[in-house]
Amino acid sequence: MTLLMGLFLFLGGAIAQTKVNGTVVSLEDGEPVIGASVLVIGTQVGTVTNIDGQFSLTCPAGKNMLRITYVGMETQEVAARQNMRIVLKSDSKALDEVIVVAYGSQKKSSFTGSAATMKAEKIQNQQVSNLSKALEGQVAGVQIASESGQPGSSASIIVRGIGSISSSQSPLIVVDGVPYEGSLNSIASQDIESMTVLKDAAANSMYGARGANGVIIITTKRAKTGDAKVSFDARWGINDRAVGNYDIITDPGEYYEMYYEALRNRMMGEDGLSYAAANALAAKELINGDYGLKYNIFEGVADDAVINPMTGKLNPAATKRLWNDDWTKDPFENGFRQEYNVNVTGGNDITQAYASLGYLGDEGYIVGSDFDRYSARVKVDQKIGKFVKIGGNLAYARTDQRNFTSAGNSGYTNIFMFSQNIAPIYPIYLYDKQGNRMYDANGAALYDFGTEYSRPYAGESNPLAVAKVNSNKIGTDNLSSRGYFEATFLNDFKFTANIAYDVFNSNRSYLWTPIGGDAKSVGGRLYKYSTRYGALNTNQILDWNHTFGKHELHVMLVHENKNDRYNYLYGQMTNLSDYNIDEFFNAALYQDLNSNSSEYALEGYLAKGEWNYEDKYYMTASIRRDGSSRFYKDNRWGTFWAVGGAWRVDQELFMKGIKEISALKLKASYGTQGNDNILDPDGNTITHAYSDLYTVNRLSGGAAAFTKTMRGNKELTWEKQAMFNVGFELGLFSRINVNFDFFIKNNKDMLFRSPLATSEGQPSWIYRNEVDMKNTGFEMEISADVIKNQDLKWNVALNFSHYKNELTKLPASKPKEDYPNGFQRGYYWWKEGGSIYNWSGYEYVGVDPNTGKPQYNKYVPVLDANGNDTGEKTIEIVNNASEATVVDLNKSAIPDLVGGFSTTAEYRGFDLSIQTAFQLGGYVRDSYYANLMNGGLGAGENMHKDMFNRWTPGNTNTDIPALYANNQSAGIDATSDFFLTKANYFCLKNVTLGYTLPASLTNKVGISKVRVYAAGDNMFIWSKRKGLDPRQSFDGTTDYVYSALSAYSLGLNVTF
Amino acid sequence: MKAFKYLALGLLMTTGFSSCSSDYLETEDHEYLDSETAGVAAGHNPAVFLNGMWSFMVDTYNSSHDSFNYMASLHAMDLMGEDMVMAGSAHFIYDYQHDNRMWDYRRVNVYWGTFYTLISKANEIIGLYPNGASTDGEKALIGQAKAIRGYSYNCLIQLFRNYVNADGTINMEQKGLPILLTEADGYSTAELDALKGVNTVKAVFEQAGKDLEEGAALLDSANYVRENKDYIDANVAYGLLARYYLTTQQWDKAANAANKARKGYKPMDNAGLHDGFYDLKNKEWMWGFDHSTETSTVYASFFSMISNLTPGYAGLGYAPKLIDARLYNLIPADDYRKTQFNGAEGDSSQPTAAAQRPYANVKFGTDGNWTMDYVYMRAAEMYLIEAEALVRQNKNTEAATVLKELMAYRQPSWNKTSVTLNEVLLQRRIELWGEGFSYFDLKRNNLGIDRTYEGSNHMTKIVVPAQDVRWTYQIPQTEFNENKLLNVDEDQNP
Repeated sequence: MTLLMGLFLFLGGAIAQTKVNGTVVSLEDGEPVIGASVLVIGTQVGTVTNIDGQFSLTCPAGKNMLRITYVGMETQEVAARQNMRIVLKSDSKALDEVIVVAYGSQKKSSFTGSAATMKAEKIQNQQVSNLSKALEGQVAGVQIASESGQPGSSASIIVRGIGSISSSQSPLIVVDGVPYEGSLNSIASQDIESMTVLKDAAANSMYGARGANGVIIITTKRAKTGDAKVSFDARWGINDRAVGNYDIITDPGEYYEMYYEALRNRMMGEDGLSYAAANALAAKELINGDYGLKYNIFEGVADDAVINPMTGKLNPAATKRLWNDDWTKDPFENGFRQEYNVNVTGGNDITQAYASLGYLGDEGYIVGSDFDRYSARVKVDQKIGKFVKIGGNLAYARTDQRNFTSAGNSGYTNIFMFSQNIAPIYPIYLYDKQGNRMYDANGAALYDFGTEYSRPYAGESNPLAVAKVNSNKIGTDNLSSRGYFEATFLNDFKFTANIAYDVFNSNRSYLWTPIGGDAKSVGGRLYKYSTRYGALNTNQILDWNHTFGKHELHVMLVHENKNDRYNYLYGQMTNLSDYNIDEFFNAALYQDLNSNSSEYALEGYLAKGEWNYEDKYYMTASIRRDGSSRFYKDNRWGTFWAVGGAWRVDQELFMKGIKEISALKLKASYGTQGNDNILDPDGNTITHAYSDLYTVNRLSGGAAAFTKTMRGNKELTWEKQAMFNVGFELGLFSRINVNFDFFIKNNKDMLFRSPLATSEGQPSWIYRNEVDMKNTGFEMEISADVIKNQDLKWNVALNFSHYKNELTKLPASKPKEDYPNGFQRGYYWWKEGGSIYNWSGYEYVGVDPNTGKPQYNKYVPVLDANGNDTGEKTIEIVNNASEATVVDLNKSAIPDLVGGFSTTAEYRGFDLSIQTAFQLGGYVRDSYYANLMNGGLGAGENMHKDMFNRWTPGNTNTDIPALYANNQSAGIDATSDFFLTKANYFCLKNVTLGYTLPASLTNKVGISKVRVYAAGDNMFIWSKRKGLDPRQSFDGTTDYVYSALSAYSLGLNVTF
Repeated sequence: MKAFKYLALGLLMTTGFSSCSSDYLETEDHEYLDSETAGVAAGHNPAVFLNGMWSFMVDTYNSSHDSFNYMASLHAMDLMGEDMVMAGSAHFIYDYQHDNRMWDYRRVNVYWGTFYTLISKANEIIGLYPNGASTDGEKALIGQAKAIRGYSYNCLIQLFRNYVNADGTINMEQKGLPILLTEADGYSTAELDALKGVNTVKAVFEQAGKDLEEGAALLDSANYVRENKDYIDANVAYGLLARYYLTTQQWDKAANAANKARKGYKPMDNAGLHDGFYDLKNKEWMWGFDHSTETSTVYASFFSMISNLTPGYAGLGYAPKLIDARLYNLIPADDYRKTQFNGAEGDSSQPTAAAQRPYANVKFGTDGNWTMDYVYMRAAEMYLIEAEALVRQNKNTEAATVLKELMAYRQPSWNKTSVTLNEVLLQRRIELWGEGFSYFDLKRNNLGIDRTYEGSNHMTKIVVPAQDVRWTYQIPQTEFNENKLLNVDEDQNP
């Protein structure tokens, strides 16, 4: 074989002025490499490979060596011949890929900062309608909280720990070079080339006032030079509920017995009845008493005979039920999911164009929740002459989101709360006394709103009935336009001007049906909200690149402006004529009308310098000065700077002999950043916190009423952050890559919503720059190509991060000198050295075995003989939490470790990808569980099955107190340590299995690639307690949210 | 040349949007008025800050349905008495159970926050005039602010301190509450800060009295004629002053102030007693709030809780509000007020199940639109204060004469020439049922409650004796957290 090849080579060399052709393929997958450049060494002759990886060129006489280069692949030099097949190996060092950074891109090797990139494939495998959710477990140092499974809803993202207290913690999102203010549900995942998270100051400081929480740079796909290529992707699937119910009582008989006991205990305790008398009365009043349940589900059993007062057990005759509705199951059904994307790309050296169209239809698993997106994007880059390049990027997306009403709050329209908290004895539909379903005159189902039979739990409520008729629709037009002009001149200079204008027009209609529920008494209620957010961003960049000798210099100057305008219009009317038309013409009674507008302006000047020597030593420095309209004019300008350095040790001579280490780079950076995004407690930006602010309310007769809503503070200014980063990138055996970063992030003068004594009146707080905080942590990414050969490729990757959050300076009103052990702040306990999410609460110490009452610790000061406080405390046991002492529980909501494990494998056309996410440590307050464990329950409220282990005279060895109907101190206090639950979780985030038809087969019909696949998302979540999803928040609080969605799809991907 | 052309284009793109002017960062915020614009607007119409006070009184303190500030406070207090029965478990159940007084509970914050915010709003107005009032307009403004401030202190001290001794006298040396005033009251900054401490009951009462007296005098001297009954005029100010004198047992002054307060008013007639108690136009009403769809808080409102005819918490049957059977039986059959309640048999002709119940109140009705007005003060109370104050001075016949003026419109057959204290107090309970007087009356009269009597229709049958700790609220935790002059170990109530 070798001999034969040598012969050809020789022959080839003998031919003069020869036309040669060949194919360039990649070693990894045997796929053609498109756009690889082929150059005849020693000449100007060259070409690029086409869509099939093929090329042809004519070698001038005497020249027959070709150099084939492609980004990310090892360059090869081979002798030219006919029908050559050139196999390119991917560059194992992989350090020279290009990464996207602030105001441009650069070679990864020269990057002194810390960044992580999530590539297109990993995003596109996931069935997410909002890009923010794709990041979970994918990028070290990034933590996600997913408040809602509602299709289209976003997740909150934090980078490198807790960024702030009273201002935004969210990273700055930059799309194609410009800050993006819209929702991430407006961008189709198929349009994404990469998401890069910039983590340290060297990377972020260039965004000055807004870089402190990290920066996520989203880059959309860009056309490559080559023949036109069309790619089509379609997938169909179902959506299901990923996190099920808590383990609640589902058997009506069991519920009756438990509530009977609660009632009996109340009658003994509150009303002083004897055991026997209380038993008799509780049985008699179980259904029809003042605290009665009102509904008797059993057929042929008298209301006062459901429970036998002699045994406390269900009447044995109670076997046949009048209805079998199941609140925990019946309201939920699978939703249908479909997604189609097509994109066209192509171009030559002068013009490159990319266009895409997409549709997503994503139905939730509860009626009245879905998300639709129509998206289109066109991107064109055009060279004009030798020195000028212009381009534009226009994206439009129409999103229509129907929200399930009031998920996330504790209103009775929230089916996620209602369906678990209602006792299993109540029907969904309306039944007559004989248990027959009732229908209206048109044959439509009638629902049980609780009014007909005075249901004590949530009267006048039926969340399923209203969900079917209520509608909460948000339609948004997302238009994003970007244009640039680029000119190179005087060899080393480049000038770029960018203009971007994004506008988001949103209309929301929220209709509350009058058929029942909250809006019944007003004949239906309709809210309308219209918002418009226009964001104009311009910047001008001057670059100078120069190489002299082994030195390479890059200097960049930037000027940037931003002006955002927000308009809001809101109206409310009641008394609807047609119950389904959500327009005001249809409503008769005026309720409310309001509008407002606000503006945000930012101006910044930036200079950045980069130097490198021999591609071995790198230094960068940047400085930015920013002014923000959010602060008073004397305090609005801030200066932010960063320096960074890197050393590519593997380039040193002494490393050449160490074969095991294929790459090694050390880096360090230090710099400052800011945060100007002050938020109110609802998470809305406050634009003018420096002035006293008044709302104007209206009294009847048209009189204006002023209410102070803000105590202004002219001194307010930037929240400042200084970050230190040190890390390494290591390659072993050309197969294993390890990235490690350690950081210290110091926040100073944080924007803090400082409470005042309540006696000062509302607003009882003022914003000040006064708390300091520190996050210290590390991130690690390890990936390994375990097997890498022509047939089988198997890669595993693991990332994880850890951080410690600590308060380093307490608020001015609570200095460490006065509060050496800290103080309670809401749910948390603040002390120097403790985290801001360190829980406070009562110490629950179990049940009094004699009475069944809960017990808590009360710390009582010890007085000396003269009645002076000795500083010591003794513990007294109290039965009412309010008499106990709120203490530092020394448990933090912040997890110890957050990360993800993923693996991909490819074998003869099959591909398998598994992505997971996990969290270890930290505590959530399981409020849902607390509610289900309330022994002082009201009539009709359900319980967790753990309540079976409550205290009774026969079961005194337990930590669950006795039942006692309608008493607010009978249960374990919800803010006690009992409900702090380990926040560990593991989630099987995505599994995708694909098969690519052999190219030999598809090429015959002119198709370059056909791939079919099956994908599942959020397939499995393990947490400490069934029903608990610890991913809801960063601060450890949990709520009755629209619980997470899982999706299963089959898909098809075709490239022409 | 060509390159130059494009370069020019690029520069144009750049400069077109650059900031050349220095006010680029001066943005417009049209969501709120800032202090400057609010000041200018207030100059046009000084009542805007007063209006903010009225609007706050009906607003919700937090998002909870039982936190509609002033009337929620009164309603919670009423439910602690003996006269109102809560028939079902819903919001306010813990007030009814006398289990809502601990320092970390919501109710405590609503009381404290409501009255102290009213004080801060009054201070905002008073502080606008460092030299006091000069014009009639300013007198009217400051007069109303002082009346509200004094009234708030008077309410706070009753709620948050056990100010009555077991023998019925007032314990003036007992620990008081923070007093917040302004420099316009003639104090230095240091003095103002010191007043934020615990003070004494005496100091708080004195401040309340001073404010109410000054407020009434200012309004009187300004001959202030108000635009509508949302505002406080001299009559209302005297009415609030009369309440204060009653609390502080200054009987002579109480009778006098109550008499001044009801000048120009007559009791409503039988029809008025049955019009649903939701119209500010009622001629007997002296002070209240005129609700519109914009100010209405629907489920989180007084009528949602009290009216068995309004589709709210009471009317939907979660917690109907009934009259205590024993009190009902004490109302004579020919008293017009008896038909404000159902008898023991209930009334099946009523439109809601709640209003059909035995002893259900139908005193509070509905306008079908959730815009029912609130009543804060009416003339009948003034007759009753005057009569009680006279009896307290052993002027039993004079008291009967005053009371008869009222009773002529309540029970025409009533014809007593002399009344006892208990008779007057009974009339107070009947007349003012549901309007928020039970707790204040029980506490100032050093009385407890007993809901366990034979035939009691109470859901929570408890006995709470006078002087029980349950009659006094704990000072909220949020106050101790931020007010360094208070010490929880020393200044908290048991």
